[in-house]
Amino acid sequence: MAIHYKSILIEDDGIEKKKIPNNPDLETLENIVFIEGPNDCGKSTLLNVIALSFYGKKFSRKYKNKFSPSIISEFSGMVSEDGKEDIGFDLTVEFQGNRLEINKERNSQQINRKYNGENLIFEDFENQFDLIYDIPLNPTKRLSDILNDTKLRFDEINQKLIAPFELHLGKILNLVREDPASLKTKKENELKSLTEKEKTVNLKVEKSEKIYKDYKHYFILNKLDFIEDELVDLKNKLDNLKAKASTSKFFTKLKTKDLTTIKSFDTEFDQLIKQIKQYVEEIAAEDAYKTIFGEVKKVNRVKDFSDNKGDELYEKITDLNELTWKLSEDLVDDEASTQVEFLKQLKDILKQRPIQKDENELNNMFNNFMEEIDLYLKKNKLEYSYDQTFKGIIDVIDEKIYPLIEKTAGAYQRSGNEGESINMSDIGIEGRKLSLKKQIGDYRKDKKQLKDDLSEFGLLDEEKSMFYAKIKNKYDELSEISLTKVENLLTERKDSLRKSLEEQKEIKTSITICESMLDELKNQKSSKYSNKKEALDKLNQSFSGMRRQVEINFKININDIIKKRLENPDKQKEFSKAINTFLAKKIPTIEHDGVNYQVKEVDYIEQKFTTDDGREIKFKVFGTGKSQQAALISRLESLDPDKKHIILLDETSHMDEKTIQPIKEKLKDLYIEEKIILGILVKPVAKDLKVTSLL
Amino acid sequence: MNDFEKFICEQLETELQKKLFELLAKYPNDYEKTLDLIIEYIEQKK
Repeated sequence: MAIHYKSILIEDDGIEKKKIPNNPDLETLENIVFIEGPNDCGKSTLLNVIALSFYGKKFSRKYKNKFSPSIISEFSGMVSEDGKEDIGFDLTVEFQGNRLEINKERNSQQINRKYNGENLIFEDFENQFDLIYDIPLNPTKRLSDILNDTKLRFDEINQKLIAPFELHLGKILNLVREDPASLKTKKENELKSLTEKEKTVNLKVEKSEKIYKDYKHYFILNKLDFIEDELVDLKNKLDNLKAKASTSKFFTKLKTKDLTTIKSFDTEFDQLIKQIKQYVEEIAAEDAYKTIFGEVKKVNRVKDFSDNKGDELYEKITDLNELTWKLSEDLVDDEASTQVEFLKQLKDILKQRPIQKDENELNNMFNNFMEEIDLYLKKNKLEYSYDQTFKGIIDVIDEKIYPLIEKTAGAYQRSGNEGESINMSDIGIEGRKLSLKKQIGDYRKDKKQLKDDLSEFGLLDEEKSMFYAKIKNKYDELSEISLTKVENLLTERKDSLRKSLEEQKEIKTSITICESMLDELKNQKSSKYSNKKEALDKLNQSFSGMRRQVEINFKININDIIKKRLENPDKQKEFSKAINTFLAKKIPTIEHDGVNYQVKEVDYIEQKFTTDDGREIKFKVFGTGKSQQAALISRLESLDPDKKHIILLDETSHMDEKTIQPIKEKLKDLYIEEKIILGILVKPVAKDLKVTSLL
Repeated sequence: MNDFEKFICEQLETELQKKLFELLAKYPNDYEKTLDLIIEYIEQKK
């Protein structure tokens, strides 16, 4: 193993500071690896840390054109100028008899590098090493990102340019239209009322902060108690199993795929049951499901698969399915649920309608109708969410649990035929042990994080039980409820604190505006614009039209393009044409089958690129990632021969196994040829983290 | 103006709107200057 890595990421969302340690499974790796894992398992953090170790903050400036904007934005998010995000790390790469050590302390921007024990300044480092960090994106995926980003950028333009000017223009129009003395009195009264309101809101924020802190403290201590109990229980179970198992020598006789299926059954099955339990908690139906969950738990899985092809487990899951159908029929009013779905869709359609100029009455009618829909939806949301939750449970059972049981039963059956010497129950026990070890590992990670979070509260002044009693007495809703419900309430409190803080900020802004107007009014007899009334009115009218276009019409047009359907093709033709050219500027070149083409126009609705030599390339040819494979291989074949390289390839999710295999082989060859010292290929998958050495 | 601002500007309906947007993008924090210049523009066009 030749890569050693540790990091702690700090994230401060303005309410709390989170310390996120690296994933322990990624601490030691081979030089060339393929990492598969779910989101948030630390894969991208590892890649970003390596990139940071290379360029530090220079990454985003000097090397702006070396990397794609999405990489730069991900990376710069790790160390922000305001210190809200920061990271400390240690990274060592051993390769071909050499040792490269790089580290960064938290609260410092300095990156320290050592090569074979000697300090290495950045310029020397840059001359000897090079980094390729790529997300082999499907360019068509990037197009939809650009379109969605464009929608957000209209809002940004509104906030940065249009809204502040509107405020200024409004202020001037007020001054011109109204006598300064009466306006001053009006503004003084407004300031007085705002100041009063600020006092109330400050108290509200103070109270929300106190409550949130109490809830958080109470939750952390409760969760730690829960984890301690679970750990004792799981460790006992593991010790019992350890005493029973003894047969790893038999495993070699089994087919690897079947062995993996048998070993991973417990982990996957427990995870799916956990998912169902979360749904059950959402609709507060724990009591109705309690017995059936107990029955499922009681099944001796290994014995059931060995002797009964998993029939007992299958039956219990069928009971669970039937109970869900029954409850769903009893509790959900189908008609209301269908209506909610219909109205939600109708609302979406109405939102997209073109806004008619000078048709205030019609627009008002639409708005009133949408408000009515909102009211109805609010009333019936409970019904609707019940329906969705039951559907969720049934989907997990039908699409995941049944196939999993069938697949595992098949694996047991095939493995059982391999010969009598294989002890099936021992293999099942191995799987159970793996599942327990994983659960223990997860709980330990949670425990570490919670202890870090607890440090902000200091030591308790009293016994823990006294503290619990005090909190329950103070907050009625916290007594006699499950930990999950406490966690939900904690989230509600956090939201409520966030809202109060936003309200506080809004009032402060209004006060500042009001004060600045009063300042201007103090010595003002009349506005310098008082003889410009006609021009101001003309400007105001034109400005309103502009605001409506940027705020509403452009966004509707973009939405239509994203949906690949123009509602008013004649009216939207010009805009759509402009967007096609705009997109072509954003993606000036595309790589197809290893060849670079200049893009002249992108037709998102027709889903095709037009290149400057008149070629039309359909979006669908980028689907399997074959085109990106050719581009990557060609890039790997033209590395600078005077430098050692680090290759990081993230998010290869759209590349299938067949497409990705040549890249894996190329990385291995380049390592053997000593052209690269480290190569990491990352693919996001929903399953557990898996690291495969490619050497 | 950046690419996106240019794009918005081109899509606006009237010359006055285009001129106003151009000034807003050019002096993003100086609304008084923007206002003075656009009024001057309107009066010249009269």
